[in-house]
Amino acid sequence: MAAQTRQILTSMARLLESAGSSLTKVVKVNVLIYSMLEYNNMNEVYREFFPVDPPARTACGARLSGGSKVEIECVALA
Amino acid sequence: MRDVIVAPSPGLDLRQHYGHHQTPAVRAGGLIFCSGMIAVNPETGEREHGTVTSETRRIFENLKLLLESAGSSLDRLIQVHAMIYDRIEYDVLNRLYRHYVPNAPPARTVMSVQIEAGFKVMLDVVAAA
Repeated sequence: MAAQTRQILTSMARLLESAGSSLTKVVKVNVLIYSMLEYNNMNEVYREFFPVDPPARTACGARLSGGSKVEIECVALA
Repeated sequence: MRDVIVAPSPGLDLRQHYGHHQTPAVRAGGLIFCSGMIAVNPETGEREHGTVTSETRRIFENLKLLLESAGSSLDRLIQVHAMIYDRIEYDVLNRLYRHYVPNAPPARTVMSVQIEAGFKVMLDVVAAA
């Protein structure tokens, strides 16, 4: 879970930057986890990527595809 | 411009109470994005598990506090993700929901998902600033 969260947020940072945005401009994040039992594992890595004034967030447990443990979407300022 | 909206009462600060790494709401682009709201006491932050009805009521009251402190209101809801532990109680959720957003209700998607701490309901909303 921690590894997937880290990989996802690293990719997300890169993606935002290529669009002229950044993690600091993220306004809202939606996190889907395969089990809420792993919420803390996700949260602990997640906090590294949003050190100041973290965005609003909704996290819930859902069925994901391809063996993924976590899926993250976000809305950011352009 | 990205403004964080601080919790209008201490119980709504889930970061402080539960370590959730999030802000209660963020304003940007004329919209207010709220973190998923659950049935916690707005003063103490204590979890208030209950029926779909009682949790939904508490959630809407909390959202009212949060949105009004940010200059918005329940009338200005644009989109709602209504998360419920089981679709079998959809009608119970709907009954109270229509009480809180009676006119021109926002766009809504109902999702049956696993919610934190065994709660039955969570509302993830976006409102106009």
